Amino acid sequence: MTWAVQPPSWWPVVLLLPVALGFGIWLARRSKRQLRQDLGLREAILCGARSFVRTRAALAGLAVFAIGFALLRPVTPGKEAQLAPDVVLCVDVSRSMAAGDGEPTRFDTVRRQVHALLQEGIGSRFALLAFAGDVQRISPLTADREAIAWLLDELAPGAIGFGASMAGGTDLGKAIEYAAQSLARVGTVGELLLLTDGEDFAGTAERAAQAAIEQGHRVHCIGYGSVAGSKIVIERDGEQSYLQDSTGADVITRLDVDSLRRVAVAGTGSFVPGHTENALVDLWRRQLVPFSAQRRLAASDTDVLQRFAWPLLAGLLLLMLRMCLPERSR
Amino acid sequence: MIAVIETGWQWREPMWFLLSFLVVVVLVVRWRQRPSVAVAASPMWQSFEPALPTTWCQRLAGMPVWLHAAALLLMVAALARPVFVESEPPARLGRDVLLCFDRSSSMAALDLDPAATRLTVGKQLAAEFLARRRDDRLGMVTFARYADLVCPPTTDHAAVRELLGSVQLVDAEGPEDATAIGAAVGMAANLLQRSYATGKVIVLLTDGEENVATAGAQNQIAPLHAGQWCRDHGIRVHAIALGRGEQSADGTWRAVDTSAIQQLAKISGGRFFPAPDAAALRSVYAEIDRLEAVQFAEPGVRVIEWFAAPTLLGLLLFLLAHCWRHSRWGVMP
Repeated sequence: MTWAVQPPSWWPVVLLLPVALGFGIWLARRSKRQLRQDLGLREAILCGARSFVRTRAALAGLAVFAIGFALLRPVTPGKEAQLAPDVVLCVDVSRSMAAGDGEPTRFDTVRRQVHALLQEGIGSRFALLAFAGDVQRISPLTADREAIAWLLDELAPGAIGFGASMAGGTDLGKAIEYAAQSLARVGTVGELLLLTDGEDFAGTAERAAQAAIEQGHRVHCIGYGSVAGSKIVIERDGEQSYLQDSTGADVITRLDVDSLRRVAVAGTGSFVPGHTENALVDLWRRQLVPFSAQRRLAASDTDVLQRFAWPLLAGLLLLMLRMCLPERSR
Repeated sequence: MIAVIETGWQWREPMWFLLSFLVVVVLVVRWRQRPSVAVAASPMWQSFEPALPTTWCQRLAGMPVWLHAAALLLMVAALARPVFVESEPPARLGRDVLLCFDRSSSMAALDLDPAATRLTVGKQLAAEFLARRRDDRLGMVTFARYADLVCPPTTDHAAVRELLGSVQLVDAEGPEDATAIGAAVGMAANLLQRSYATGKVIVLLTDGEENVATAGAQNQIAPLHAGQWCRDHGIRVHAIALGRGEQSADGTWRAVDTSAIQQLAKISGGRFFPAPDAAALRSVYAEIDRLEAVQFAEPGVRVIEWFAAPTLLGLLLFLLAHCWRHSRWGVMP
């Protein structure tokens, strides 16, 4: 069950509860010492033997813990709670994404996985960016997942649909900056998913990821392709061939795992290899949704149910039980 | 019907007050367990010294029990969830508004403004219109021969304005140079029918007549059919016929047949507006703005939880009782 706490502005007061508990225990011990000093062996004869000393202390400790927890305001989602995250999909459309170490290409794998994610992402808003050496907004943040899927299908390596092309290379840093801005503009925080083979030519991605987390976003990297590398398939006049460099040699592109892992660490997100079939959906289920639910509940920007009554009740019953235990057996 | 909202102090869960009976039971148990009063006040002692006066210390011997009682009752009160309810201004309910923007080559005509094409004037005034729709989700479809989804409904208005600014004319006499009004409205309706917004509106801006879904054409959506689909899905279409018509070779203007888009607007519950010049177009947008005025939800409330105050006070009384017990005024345990 998803839950979170909504600490009040005066939450440091709650930290005084263990201090008060400690003071109470010290006071009781001092009093006990004094009594022993005054009465000596006559204490048990006059007052009866002490009983439940540790149990009473333990009950007091548990009660203070439960009541302290209640004061931090635990909440669970209400009926109309919106817990799903806002997600910016940054899709690498550089030519290297046409390499044949995907199924059949890296870009086809991305497309298939994003479609699966869009099917799964009920309640979420998605934005779509295409990037290579430059960044292009394909769709701003929208709840219309079908439209995102439709717009994604217009993309291809080296092109962003309708015949438009992009600058070559891969600038992960620029994509992260643009994605963070597009979330900030609608006053939200969310998850940035970089779907790429990780060849960060500009080398600014880590710095951009750190800037993104300062704005409250997280950056995740999903790496496509293989470390061994692959040639880039291009189509010319209906015939397929391999992209060649200026010397006439076939260009080999490799998945840069280390670079992507560093970016994900800098962005407090995860690096996920994209070769597993459900890479995106698994990331969604295991990390994006639980984190977003916690964040939205704690920030109280959604419908919540107050759950302080149960720990408070537990604390109250523990205190009552403590009061019912006799202090002396006579 | 307007709901009556009670504001002020309230107990949200008063059933918890039933726990007070348990508190009484605990206090009775506690009272029965109380230690005999201090030796000086015991009957045995008093039999030796009957004249000894009762001290304040003896009189207040039962104070910790009363403090415990108050503490427990305060916590029961906290469980009953005291809240202060404030009224809040009603929330503004936004609509989903989709612009359907004609970008056929005829939008290059200079009849609205001698210095700017129909497309430029249309984009500029549409941007002003969108800027006034702050509470709405906005989207855009452009069309010539084919309808293109430019932007699904979004709250990112700056992005919509940027995308609107990037709309360009298709090449004159090129393969895309036609006017597929039905297809564009169909695509816009398809986008809006998935939305849960309280109001769904398409603003169609075109300067021509449908010439793709003609009588002989197959698998094309006629404006009338698009209008029926909009009506079935609760989508209003406001249609704007831009400009003075088509310009013939001799420079004279021939009015275009707008009956199809008039029907489309009427059948969907929207309005048809001719806009022969820029001023007219501006007033059309103002009129649509008025027709689709912002709606308000029922007044809301803000609930401020006050359970922490009695809880903390209760804990303080517990601590006080404990201190009392172990101080010089306390009864020997």
